[in-house]
Amino acid sequence: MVGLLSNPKKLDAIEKTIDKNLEKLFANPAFLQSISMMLNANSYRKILVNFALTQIWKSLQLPNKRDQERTLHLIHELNHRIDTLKEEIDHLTAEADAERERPAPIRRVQRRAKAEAVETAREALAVQ
Amino acid sequence: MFDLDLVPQGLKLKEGLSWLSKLSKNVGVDASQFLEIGVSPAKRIFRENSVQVLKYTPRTETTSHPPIIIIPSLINRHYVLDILPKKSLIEFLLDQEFPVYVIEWGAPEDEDRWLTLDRLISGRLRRAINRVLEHSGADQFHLFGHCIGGTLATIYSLRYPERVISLTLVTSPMNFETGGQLASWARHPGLNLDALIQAYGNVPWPLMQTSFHMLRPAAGVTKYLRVWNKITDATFMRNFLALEAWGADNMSFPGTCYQTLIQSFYRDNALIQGNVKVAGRKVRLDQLSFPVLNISSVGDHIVPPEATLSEENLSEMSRRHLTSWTIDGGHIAAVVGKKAQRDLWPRITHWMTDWETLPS
Repeated sequence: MVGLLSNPKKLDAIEKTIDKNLEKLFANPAFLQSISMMLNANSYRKILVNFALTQIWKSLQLPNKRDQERTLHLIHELNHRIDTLKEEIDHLTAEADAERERPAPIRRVQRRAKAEAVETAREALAVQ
Repeated sequence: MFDLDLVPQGLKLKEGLSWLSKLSKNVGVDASQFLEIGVSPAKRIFRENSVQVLKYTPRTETTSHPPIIIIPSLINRHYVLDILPKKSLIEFLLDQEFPVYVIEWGAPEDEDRWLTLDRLISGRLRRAINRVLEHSGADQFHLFGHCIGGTLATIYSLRYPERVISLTLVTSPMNFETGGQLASWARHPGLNLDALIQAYGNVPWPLMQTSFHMLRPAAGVTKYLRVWNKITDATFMRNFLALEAWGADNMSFPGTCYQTLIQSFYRDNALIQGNVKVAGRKVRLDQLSFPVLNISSVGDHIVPPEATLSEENLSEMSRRHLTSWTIDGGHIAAVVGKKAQRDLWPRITHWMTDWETLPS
C-alpha cells in the first residue's frame, strides 16, 4: 500500500484497468436494462405516492403542490408573453419615430401646382 | 499505537493530520467559507426567476472591448471560471480589459419542471443578453459557452446572430451521436423519461452526479490516494479542495429541458440534423455566419473531442468560420489548468480581439 502511494504511475495503471473493466460492465445492455428497471420502478412508486398525497389534499379541499407549480408556471408564461409584447411595442415605436424624422415626400399634385405657379410668374414677367 | 516518526510516511501522516485538525475546527462549515472560491466581486444587474446576470467589477481603469457574455453549464455552478484568485479565467479576461458578464442559471424552482428548452433560450437567455447590451451600451458582444452552456450559446446565436461578434465554445457537446459513454447510456431505450419527469419534476442532481462519477468509477478512490502524497502541500490542497467543492455543488435540471436534451439531442441528434426549433424557427449549424472557436480536450470523458463541433457538421460555406483547437487534459482543463492559463487564455483573447477589428 505504501509502495502504491509513492508510485503514481502504478496508481494510474490500476485506475485505468479498473475503469476499463467497469466500462465494459456499464456498457453491457443487460446491466443498463436492470439499472433502467430500477430507476423506472422508483419513478412509478413516487408517482403513486404523489398521486395518493394529492388525492388526500384534494379531499380536504386544500391546494396541492402540483396545482401550485402549474399556476406558477402559467404566471411565468404570461409574464413572458407580456415581455415579448413590450419588446414588440418598443420596436414599433422606434420604427415610427424613425419614420417621423424622415422628410415627407412632395406629392405630384403639389409639384405640378408649384410648377404652374412658377410658369405663370414667368409669363407675367415676360409680358412686363 | 506505533510511533509515527519511525514510519517513512509517518512524518507526512503527522503533518497531514495536523492540517486536517485545523480543517476539523470548521466541521459542518462550507468549504467556501475558508477557501476563497469564486470571490471576484460582481453585482447582479438582472434577475428572472432563478436566472441572474452578474456583471464583474472591472480590474482596469478602462475597458477597450465589447462585452463578453459567459454562458456556463446548467448542471454545475459558474464559478469554476473564477475558481481561485490568480487561477481565474474571469480575472484574466478582466485584466485584458474585457467587460465580463455571466449568466448564472441558479437552481431551478419546482415550477420550472415545465420550462421548455425553447422558452429557456428564446425567453430567459435572450432577455438576459438584451439586458447586458442595455447595461453595457454596446451594440455587439462576444459569446463564451462552457460545456452544455456552449450548446445553448450556439443555438441562441444561430437564432439571433445579429449582434454576435464571435462565439467561443469550450468542451461543448454538439454531435451527441459520438458523445461517448454518457451518450450510449442516454440512448438506452429502457429509461422511461416521462415517468422520471412526472415523478421528480426537475431531475435531481444526485442522479446526474452519480452518472458522471460512473464514467470514471475508480477516480473516486484513487484521487484521495493521490492527495495522501501531497497532503502537506498547502497550495495543492487548496486547489484540490476548491475543485472538490465546485464538483459537489451541482444543480437539478429543469424536467422538460432534460427530456428535450435526452430525447431530441442524445437520441435524435437534433442539432446535427437541423431539427431544433427556437421561437418558431428551425436553426441549423450550416447557418453559421460568425466566427466560432471550438476548444476540446483530449482526455475529456464527459464530452470527447469527437462530440464537439467539427467541420463535418458544417456546410462548405460555414466551415470557413470555424477554428478548432484541441488541448491536453480533462473536461475542465481549459478553464482551470495551469497550462491553459499560460497558453490557451491569451490565445483566446487574441482570437476574439482579431474579430473585433474586422468588419462583420
